[in-house]
Amino acid sequence: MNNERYIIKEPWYKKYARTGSTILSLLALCVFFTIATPDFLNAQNLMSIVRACSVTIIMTMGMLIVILTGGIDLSVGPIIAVVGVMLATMLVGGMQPWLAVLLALLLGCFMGLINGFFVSVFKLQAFLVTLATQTIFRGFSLLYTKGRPVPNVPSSFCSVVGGKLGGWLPMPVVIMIVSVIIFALVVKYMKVGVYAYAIGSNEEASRLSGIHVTKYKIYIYMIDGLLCALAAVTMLGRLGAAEPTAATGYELNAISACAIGGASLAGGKGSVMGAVIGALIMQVLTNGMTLLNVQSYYQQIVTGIVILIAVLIDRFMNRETK
Amino acid sequence: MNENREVILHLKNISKSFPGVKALRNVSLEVRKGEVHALVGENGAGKSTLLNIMKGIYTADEGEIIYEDHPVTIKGSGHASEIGINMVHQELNMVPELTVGQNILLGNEPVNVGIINYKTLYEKCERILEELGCPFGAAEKLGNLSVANMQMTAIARCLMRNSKVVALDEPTASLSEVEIQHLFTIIKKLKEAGTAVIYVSHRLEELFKIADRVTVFRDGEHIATKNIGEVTRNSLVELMVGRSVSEYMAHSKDYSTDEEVLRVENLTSKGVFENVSFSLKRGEILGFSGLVGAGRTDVMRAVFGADKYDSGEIFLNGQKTDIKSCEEAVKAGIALLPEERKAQGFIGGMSNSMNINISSLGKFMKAGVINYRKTGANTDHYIKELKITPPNPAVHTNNLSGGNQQKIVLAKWMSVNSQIIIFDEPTRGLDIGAKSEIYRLMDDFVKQGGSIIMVSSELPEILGMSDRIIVMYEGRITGVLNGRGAAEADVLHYAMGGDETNE
Repeated sequence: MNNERYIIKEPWYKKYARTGSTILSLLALCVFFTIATPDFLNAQNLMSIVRACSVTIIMTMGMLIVILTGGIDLSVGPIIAVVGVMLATMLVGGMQPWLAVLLALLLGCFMGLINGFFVSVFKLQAFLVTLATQTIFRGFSLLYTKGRPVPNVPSSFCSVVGGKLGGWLPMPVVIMIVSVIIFALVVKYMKVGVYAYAIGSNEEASRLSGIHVTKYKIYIYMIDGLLCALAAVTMLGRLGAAEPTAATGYELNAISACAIGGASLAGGKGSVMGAVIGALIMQVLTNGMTLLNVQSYYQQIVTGIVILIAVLIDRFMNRETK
Repeated sequence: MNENREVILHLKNISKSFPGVKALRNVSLEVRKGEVHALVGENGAGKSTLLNIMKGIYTADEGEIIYEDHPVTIKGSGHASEIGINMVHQELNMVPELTVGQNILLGNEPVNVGIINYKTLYEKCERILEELGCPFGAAEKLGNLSVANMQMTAIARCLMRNSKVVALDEPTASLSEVEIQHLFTIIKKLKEAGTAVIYVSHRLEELFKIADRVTVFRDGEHIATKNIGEVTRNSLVELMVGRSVSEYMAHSKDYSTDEEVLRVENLTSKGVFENVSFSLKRGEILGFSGLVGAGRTDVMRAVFGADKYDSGEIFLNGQKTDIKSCEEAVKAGIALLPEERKAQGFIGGMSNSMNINISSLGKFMKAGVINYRKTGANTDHYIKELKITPPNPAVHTNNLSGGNQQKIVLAKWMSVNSQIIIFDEPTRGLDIGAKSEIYRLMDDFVKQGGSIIMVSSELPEILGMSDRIIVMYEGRITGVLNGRGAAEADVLHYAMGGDETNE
């Protein structure tokens, strides 16, 4: 027997290589835009970048935990829209804001539960289930509002959720940071997070290890729904009105952010930090190019190229470790 | 009788190693035109490795292949087919959604300017199916056929490619008596046409009906090649097994008590296994022997809650239980180390530490929060106790050797304090050193009051480690033997379907 053959000396930086490279890319982008335009590097602009992607980041975390299991959620946009219009209606109807928000979050969980139920109990493909519910949820939000926006959300809600903490820190940013920290802790320190990685890496081995895969998959889709609802709450606070067509196409932003951050759509691979940075990269790109007066058509092309580069980096790094 | 027939394929002095295992050591196989050459040996003896080398799926480390008097390098499965070497795999690799004809000519479809000419395709296939006497047409959907007829289709595919050498890997494993007769007729036709047939089978009786010569492999070595007339079933078995077992088996003492920890009564899963009843005592190693596909793994998966069963009862420590999922089984103290370690035993992309603790996280949690100091301590404990190398909790389990991977899976179950551990092929693919370590750990486990069920297709393992042996054949228990001093021949007799009264 020759055990020496199997001793693997992994350099310390290897573990952080992927997230590290994402962070470096973000910094490189910032340096580039700082040099390219004087309007980029100032507190106001940086804050506006973070504020602008708060909603995306909250939603991206929901997407990430689903992607970790090897699933996907195409219905995040419509979940946000449904929760948004329902919450706005409740608030306009005079309901206590804390109660309305609580109900909104429960509603998000419930929609996640629907996705999770079909994916795990009936073992349907997540892509198809959430493709269906995407249409259903969107139709529901249009039906519920008869296609019209719900305006005039009371300021008792908007001034808090859309306001500024201490007069300078936007509440959406606060909500985003707090939820990122809590989510990162959940993923690292609770069963549901560890199991998400396990199920995504090898579902059968997870099941045979005594993990109740069906149950935890449902939990995971519920967490996803909850985070979408939180994104909806945050968005409504900023905008003061809910549109039934809100958040169209957001699922692609969330998936892109996860992918740029190193998550694998095959499951089992990805990090919270990476996904958050991924969302930031996309926002910095948009912001910087807008400052540079780049036409929005070009912006789309650049974003697409960035995603391709990220995926290529993953491929390259994975081959190296083999 | 066929001494003077021309040699068509000669695999000469082939050696092949895999990480941790020397699969073939300097073996040779000579196949003549128009003969049926049987290849026998225990699981892991190297038969499949050799066939895969012949088919170009593996490359030999050493040795050469001489085909039609010329040395050849077979570049891959497609190349092998091209020059006339084909194989019918045990798991038929065909597309059930396509028709028989489409399958037969898959990859070789007759085309007119890029468009498949189905008329020609079906005509060609009908002709060959008729030749073989197949009771089905080329237009039938493959998925609608019985396994036997799928096998015929696979053979038809080989013929369509003008095979000069056809290897059949366990062709009768899932066939009924009548179907086997039909298959033999076809093999005889192939012979008459001058095709060389390599025939791999565990069913020794069959060889006497169909084979001209037989080659025995054991532990990757060529043991003997004989004319079928020169051997008997018993002498074949001797050649297949013939090694001293006790050398590296660690289980010399029976720790069984009278306390029954598990009793299974009349467990049935229709079409898979039937009326399986057995009991397991504290401190016992209960061996399950039988051929591949005898249903042993399926019984164990049912006991572990991984698969559903139709009827029967399971008692744990005298109490009737109703385990419906693996989660419940694990909670009840039952553990399973699956045969397919990589696919089912552990999570490759996760660290050793996570794989060891994945089933016992609850033990290391407070208010829903995992205490990584405790899981780390648990990992360190088992890395030390089971001597896992490399002793690094952060390394992904994928990167470990088979023996160490098995130890990780064992550590996982020891962490949840499992009382009954089911080992399915515990040492499959491991080298002697790793094997003896696993045996030692199994011995330790029963010494400390645990109980083990060991499913194994390796006779020496069954005979050397079991306190009691249960033999299964085609989903039924055909024999129960005392592990101490059981004879190989007895186990094989039951494993081949013999019942108590026979012989």
